Amino acid sequence: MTARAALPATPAAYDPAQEVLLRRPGAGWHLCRGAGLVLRQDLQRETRTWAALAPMCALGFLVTFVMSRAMAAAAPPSPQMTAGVLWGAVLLAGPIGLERLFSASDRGADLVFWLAAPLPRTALFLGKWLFCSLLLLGAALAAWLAVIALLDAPAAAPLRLAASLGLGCLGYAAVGVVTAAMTAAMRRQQGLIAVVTLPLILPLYMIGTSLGGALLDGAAWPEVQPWFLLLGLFDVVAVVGGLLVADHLWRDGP
Amino acid sequence: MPRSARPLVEVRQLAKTFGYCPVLQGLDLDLARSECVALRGVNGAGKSTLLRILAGVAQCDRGTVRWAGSALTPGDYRWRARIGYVTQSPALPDALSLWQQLDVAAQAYGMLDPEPRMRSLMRSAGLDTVRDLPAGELSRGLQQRGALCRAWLPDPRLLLLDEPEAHLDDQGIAFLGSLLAARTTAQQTILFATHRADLAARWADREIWLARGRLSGTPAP
Repeated sequence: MTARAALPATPAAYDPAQEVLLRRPGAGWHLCRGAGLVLRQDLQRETRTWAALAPMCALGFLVTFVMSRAMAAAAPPSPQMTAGVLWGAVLLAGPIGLERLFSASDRGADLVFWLAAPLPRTALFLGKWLFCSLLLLGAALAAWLAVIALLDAPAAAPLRLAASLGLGCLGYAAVGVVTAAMTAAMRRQQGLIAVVTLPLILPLYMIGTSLGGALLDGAAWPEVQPWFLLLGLFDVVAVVGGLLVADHLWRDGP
Repeated sequence: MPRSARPLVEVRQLAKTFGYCPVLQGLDLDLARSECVALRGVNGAGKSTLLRILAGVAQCDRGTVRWAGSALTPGDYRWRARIGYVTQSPALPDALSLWQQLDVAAQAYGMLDPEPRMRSLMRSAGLDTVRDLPAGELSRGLQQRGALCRAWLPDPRLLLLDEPEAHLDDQGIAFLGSLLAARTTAQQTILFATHRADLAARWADREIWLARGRLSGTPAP
């Protein structure tokens, strides 16, 4: 049965006298509730289509596969090279998720609704940031598994490596939401997002590769601690910066 | 001036420029309570831009918007709870069902016990049998009805409609007409942009024309 055939013949009368009660909460509620709603709607949409995570994981795996074949002829890759492949796969997979953040496929529909809703712009930024972080974490996990399988990476310090990937994804997502919002109204957003985002996260790539290499090499905590601090600092700067510019990101709407 | 005699919305010297192209140039507009106003103008006149600014989706470069006498600032988002906004192409994400989208809207607007109203609006729009289908699987007309339901859901005081009749069939137009006709009971003010002279004459209390960035009571020569 098609959607049109399922329509009732005559719509019922509209009742304008129906009572509507609205909450009058504080700003904190608006921020948390708004971010939660944005995240929930994006997750609902993603789990219905897998339009972002599936290609991100596939690209992450593909990059790792190509790099592993390229390095197959040489001596076993060093931990630094292995970490470089891992982070490179995550970085290259990221723009696929970023393109989906502001729903180019839905003609900017999602963004118009959130901008017109009685929620602060910072809630929109936070919700999108959390969603993008989850996407990147998924892609990072896929790339990590591929690295273990294809490059025989040692499973040393898995928790610390996971923590470094997690921290990296948080910072990447914060930068990515800002660049995705800046390019959302542009016609050629697909190519632009990567061009604008990747240079901004080069520091993240360098820190992540150094940290990952040290972890895969079995370095002790005092050796890797400064890299973790740098990753954390990058995250803080990216998230605070995103919150500060959130009000100006959508000045002209989508 | 007593509160009830004051216009619900007062727009003064509103200006907006895109790049080097001025779209709105010192525009003034008053909207009385429970009034329905048709916004007319040729393509590119700035109708959508005006509606987007009033809805809080975009910011103006200059000018003030007052709500019942109080100036609105872009940073203050709470006033948007009193505004419903419908774009000319249905602004519904394709992958979510109409019911899910109304549910998200109800929560975003902080509605308490929204389900009876959601059901009632869906029934009025003739959408109750398709409410669980993803919006992307519905025709544009049904999506537009869904967008109208979402805008009316929190019972806003001001409705901003950008060519709301776009994509609607006769049944959809009748549904839209019933929503507009209920404005006095619901104490709603409505500003809708349209190219349809017949609908403007049928629904609106008055028509205003936007040309060269300013409003007038008659069409531009």
